[in-house]
Amino acid sequence: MDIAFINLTHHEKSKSSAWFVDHLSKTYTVGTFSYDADNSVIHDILIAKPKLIVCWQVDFLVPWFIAHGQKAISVPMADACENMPSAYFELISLFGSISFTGLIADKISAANGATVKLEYWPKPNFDLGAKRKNFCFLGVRKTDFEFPIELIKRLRGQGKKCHIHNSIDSYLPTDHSIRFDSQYFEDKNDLNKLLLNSEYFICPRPCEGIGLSYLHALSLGCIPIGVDGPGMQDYIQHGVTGFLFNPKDKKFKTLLKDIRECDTEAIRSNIYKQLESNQSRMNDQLKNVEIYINQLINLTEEEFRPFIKRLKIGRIINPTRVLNGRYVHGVSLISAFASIIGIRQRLPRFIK
Amino acid sequence: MTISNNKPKALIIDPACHSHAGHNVDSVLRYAKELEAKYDVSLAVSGTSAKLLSSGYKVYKISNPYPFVKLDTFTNSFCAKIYFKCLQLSRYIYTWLPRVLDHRSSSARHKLKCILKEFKPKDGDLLFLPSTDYYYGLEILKFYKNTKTPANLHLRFIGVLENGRFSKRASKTEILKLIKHLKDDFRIKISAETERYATYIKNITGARVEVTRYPLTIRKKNDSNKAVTGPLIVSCPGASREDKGSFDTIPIVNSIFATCGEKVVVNVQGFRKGDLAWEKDAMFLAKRHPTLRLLAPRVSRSDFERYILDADIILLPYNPSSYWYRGSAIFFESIEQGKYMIGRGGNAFVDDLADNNIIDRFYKIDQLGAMMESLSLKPKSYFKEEGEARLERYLSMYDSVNIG
Repeated sequence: MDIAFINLTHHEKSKSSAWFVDHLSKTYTVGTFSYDADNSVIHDILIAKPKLIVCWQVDFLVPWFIAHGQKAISVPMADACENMPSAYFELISLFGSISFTGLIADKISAANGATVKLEYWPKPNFDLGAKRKNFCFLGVRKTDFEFPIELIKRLRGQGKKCHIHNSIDSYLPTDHSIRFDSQYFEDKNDLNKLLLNSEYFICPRPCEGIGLSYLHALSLGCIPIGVDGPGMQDYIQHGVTGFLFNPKDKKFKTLLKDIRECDTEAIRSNIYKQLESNQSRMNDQLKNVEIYINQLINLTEEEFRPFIKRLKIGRIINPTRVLNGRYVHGVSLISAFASIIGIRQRLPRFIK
Repeated sequence: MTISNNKPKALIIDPACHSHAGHNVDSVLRYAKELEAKYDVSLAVSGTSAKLLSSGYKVYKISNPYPFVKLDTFTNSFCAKIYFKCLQLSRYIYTWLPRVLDHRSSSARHKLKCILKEFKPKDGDLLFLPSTDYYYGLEILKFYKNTKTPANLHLRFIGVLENGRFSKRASKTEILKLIKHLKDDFRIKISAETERYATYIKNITGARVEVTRYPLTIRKKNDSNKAVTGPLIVSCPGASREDKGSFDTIPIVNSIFATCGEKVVVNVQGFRKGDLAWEKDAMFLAKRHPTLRLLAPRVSRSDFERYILDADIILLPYNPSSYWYRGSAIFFESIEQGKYMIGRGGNAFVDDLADNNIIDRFYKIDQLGAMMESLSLKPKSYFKEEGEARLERYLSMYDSVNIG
């Protein structure tokens, strides 16, 4: 095994990171592990001694691995760590990182960390001239569904045909008042047919790591409507390839006006062009990632030693024991740890 | 059973074969039967029931170093709660409790050493651990390495992870380290219960890891008494525990009731009194629910088989966080009866087999409700025919158990 790819079980289930693993597998032998299924996996990975560890949304493990002499890079996602302090980004990108959103790339750069930008652009898979029957599609995810539901209510009030799909991962709160039009699709083609028939797609979350659900809808010609936040900002241009709105605007006045006045055919044509032209951009970025990973793998022990030395104190924290699988606590703990390191660097030499 | 001198010997070691542990006598005897043709089989197990003693195999008694087995026998919920708190504490502060447990596991290891000395494994003999408990697996591997025993060794991992978490240096990590060291020894065979766990061990150790499944016993069916009309019967066999998805019982039954009404009846074993999974509210609701039949917390083997046999659908809503790498003996016991099954996605055995249409998969309870709604419209004969077709498909895909 050249690369150990550490992931979370929900990504494994939805296969949302499979495309990236497949790409890495072309050059390296990759072993995939789920941290939240069994957190003692980190000790086992130390036995395997891979050439590089890629921590996909488990970025807080990176300092621990480096402290144990393993080369590790992070793939932080904006929906998990957008509010973390600068010291956190400094730590997780100490050896290297891959950013999917501009926000994360900026935060890492501001923290003097190393990162390489990567975007996921699916291929367009729709006919430009095809007519669409439904007005919009919404796949409700997580529990932060207040704003899309409010928007749907307003659109339905205007007589528009909207389809609401239940894609909530966890339990639905008992006080909701949503009538779902579909619960699950036995065949993915049924979902695709529905999307190919929908004019708009409402992005379900205010912040996305990558946002594969709306990118999939984009590839089927749906015009995305989403919050002007991380993820959507990177892929949607307001009025050109979709619509972005401020969630504080609870009446959606501007948004509804923009939607009413837009030329859907022109936007769909822009989406098609954007997806096509960005294929080469994505391939170039993937090549950059490959070169980057190759360089990190080929780093000599002597070149890597300063990183270990800097995080030597990290050995005292054992994420398996201390955190017991609750990685959110892990994030807070490691950020606290980061602050301690920050203080330590400013101490007089004799105390160090 | 007479022991002939011509055949090589096989010793099946299962420290978790105990009335309170997950591995029942039946599963160990199935493996013994599989090995019988090639070996003179002896058993080293932690629970010696009458069925085991009357099986004709030579039985050695070992003890299980895993503490749950002993302490779970307390029916006093107060004791159970204190014990659970200690367990939680030990996971955070791993100080005194692991030492006590380590003492217990040391005595268990010593006993095993004595048995191995008595067994005297020779060239061509087999030591088989069908459910490798990490302490024992580690001990066997150390014994194997130090004594340079000429026998073949087969370690089958089942992904029960709790055992690896008590001591400071996790025994799971230790055993994987030792396997990596010994991986080139051709006499050691490593296998896992599921594809996912086999891949995991292979990735960590670099060793060749195969999948050893559960031996099936296909019996002639006598369904003449089975009702072809009436409500659809859905059973969730197995003890009611958190890891078996039992905390979801009420949402599941509510969801099925909301979509299917009285067309579907759900059978569930009750929570054990004093068990850690005891939830008064859940039990209170369960007793009043119109479409839920609450069975006794413990059922005899024959009742258990009848429980599976009488069902139209077997539901396995196991918790993926516990079964991410694991398989289920109940799955195999149900498929050998040609049962139509539905399992929760994320569990290794469900994900392994759902793509081949051997088991239906659901991820969330609302989805299960919608699935049940469409299934409740089908005649009962559909589940029998489809279940048997699935069994045929399974047998055509996995024709051997892959032990020896």
